[in-house]
Amino acid sequence: MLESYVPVLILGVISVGFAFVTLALSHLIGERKPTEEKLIPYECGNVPIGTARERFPVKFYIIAMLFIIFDVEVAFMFPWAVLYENLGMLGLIEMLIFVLILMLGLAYVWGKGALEWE
Amino acid sequence: MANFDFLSISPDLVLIAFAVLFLLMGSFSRTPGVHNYNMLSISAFSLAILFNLLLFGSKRFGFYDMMLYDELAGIFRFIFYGIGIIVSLMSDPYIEGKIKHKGEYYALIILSIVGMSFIATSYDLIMLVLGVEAMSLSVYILAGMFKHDEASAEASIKYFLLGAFSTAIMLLGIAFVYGTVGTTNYSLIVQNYNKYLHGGIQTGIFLFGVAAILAGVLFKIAAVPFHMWTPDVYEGAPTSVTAFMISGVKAASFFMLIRVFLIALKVAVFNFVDIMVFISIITMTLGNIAALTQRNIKRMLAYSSIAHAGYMLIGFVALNKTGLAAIVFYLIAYALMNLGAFAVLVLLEEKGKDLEHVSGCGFLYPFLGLMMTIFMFSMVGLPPTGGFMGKFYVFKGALEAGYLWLVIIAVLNSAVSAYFYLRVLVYMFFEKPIDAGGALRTSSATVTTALVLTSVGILFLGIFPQFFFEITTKYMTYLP
Amino acid sequence: MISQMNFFLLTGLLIFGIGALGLLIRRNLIICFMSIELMLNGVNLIFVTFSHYLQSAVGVLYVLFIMALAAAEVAIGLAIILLIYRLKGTVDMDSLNTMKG
Repeated sequence: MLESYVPVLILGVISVGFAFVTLALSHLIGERKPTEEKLIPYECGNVPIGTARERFPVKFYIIAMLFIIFDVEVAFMFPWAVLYENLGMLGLIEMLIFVLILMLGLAYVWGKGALEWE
Repeated sequence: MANFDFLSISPDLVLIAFAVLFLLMGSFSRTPGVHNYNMLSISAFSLAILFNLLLFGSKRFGFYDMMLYDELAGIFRFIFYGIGIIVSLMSDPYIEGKIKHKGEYYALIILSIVGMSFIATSYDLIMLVLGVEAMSLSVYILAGMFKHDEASAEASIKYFLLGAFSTAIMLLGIAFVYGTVGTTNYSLIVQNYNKYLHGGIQTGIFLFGVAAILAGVLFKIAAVPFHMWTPDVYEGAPTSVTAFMISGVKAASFFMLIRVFLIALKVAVFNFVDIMVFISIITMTLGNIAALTQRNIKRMLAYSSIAHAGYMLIGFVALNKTGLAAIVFYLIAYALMNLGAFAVLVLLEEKGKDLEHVSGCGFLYPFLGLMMTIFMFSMVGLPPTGGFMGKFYVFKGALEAGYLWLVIIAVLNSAVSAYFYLRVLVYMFFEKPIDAGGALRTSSATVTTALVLTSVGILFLGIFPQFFFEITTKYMTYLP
Repeated sequence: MISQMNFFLLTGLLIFGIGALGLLIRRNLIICFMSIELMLNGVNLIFVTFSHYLQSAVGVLYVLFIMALAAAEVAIGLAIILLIYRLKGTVDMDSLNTMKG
């Protein structure tokens, strides 16, 4: 039982060791000649327009957060959809309750005005 | 069995309904400023206590064995809802004018307490995780509720990063437990462990998982070596929220420790007793020594809460009926004295947060001075207060289990702790006030009620301890 | 069969470890925050692996719940980091030094 883990252990040690050695070597002996050209952010080969640290309006973040939450909640619907026949009425009612709770969240967000763009 | 036992979670359903109501009121009401969320949340908690009282004494499995409502869970629900009432009482004058979204504040406190209640009734590790997250996520936001205060934001982010870290570690542990026993139901874990695991690498992985879960729980308890976040978070968060964290979150975490490790993982708990002895000693010693040098009262109380966690862990180390029941007793006393002390701080905070700022307040405001005396005596563990009896019962449990030397260390620690607790009283009564004083802006009826409730509770626990201790002993059915 | 499972478990642990290490050594709050997500995803991989090899659906259930939890943490964490940025103008962890005791 225990012996079967030895190759795994060896592999782990080798992979971690390799990563460390290469990183350390390139850090230690690699030459570094930073020029202005090299230091600019890489944007698929184009010349960057403006600074990369541009400030985005906060509303992007709010919309993104809302999107993440409501997006992930849909993940709960996939297993329900797959087993819809087996779950029957009970599953439907539970999903309705779930969606109702999400709706309350949406109503809250709406009432707070987080969905208004302007 | 699909037993949808809505009755067993009826107190939580009531609370959730109120929380949703608060949120919708905040967003749709045309006159958001005038609502008395404070009273509404107190009535919500009172209603929840009433429902829980009707349920109390029964033992119910529910929701495909995801939940088990038993008497100890009922006791802890009473504790959580009571903490909710007292925090609501002391919050209103404090957050007035500082927090714009008052509805959200109370809704988050309610939702956090619902999370704690789910921890208390969990019978499957996934319910536990959901309860912990519901509790913690709400508190992360609450800690940052003062949007223009840098300290509050810092407390929030520190608590968030380390809290999420601890949750991840706990989930890793659950993954390994699941991988080795194939289930996460509390009773099935024990069954499958006895059936399938007989030493070897599988048991090793199982124990590793248990250790990771323990680490996650100790993070929430703020035991050394997982205590780094405590002082900053407790100091930076709004004082009413700190009171909530220091009493509610800690009580929930201790119940999580008791419930998970004595129902689900009791097969493994004896492997960890030795390390828990060590953690307990180092936690109380480090908490007390670090508290000695603090000038900021909130920070001092934060370190003192670490030390108290160390004392309570002694009961868990003892692992007998007296010790475990003593933890519950101690938690009640601990929650009451911390809530009370923070209620005094809520009133005195406009003067400042350091020891010097409270100088002379004992004679300027005799009522507050008297209250602070009771709470500090209880924290030191002087009779006739609940803190004394809590320590007494914990030590009794440890003596029954044969840990005389541990009790000696704890008593020495208590003696050290007297210095910094009583120093607060020395400043309050024997130092010259730094300013003329006069009436406090925030002297309020609700905070006074909270102070009276907590101090009466502490004295009651100290003078008639037998009554409570018999209840906790009777219902402490989780034994290894 | 069992050794194949070990590779998945090891990958999951490695991802978890990278996340934990990143949280401990990086100073940028956003990166720390991403490290936590990495840890949770490592746990997810471990859960899926166990679920597959034990032929039980509980593990997949956990993954769903952890994803939802992670989303909630993202929302709250980003909001808090945004708050820090507004107050301090930086998301460097070394700027969190208001309190010293």
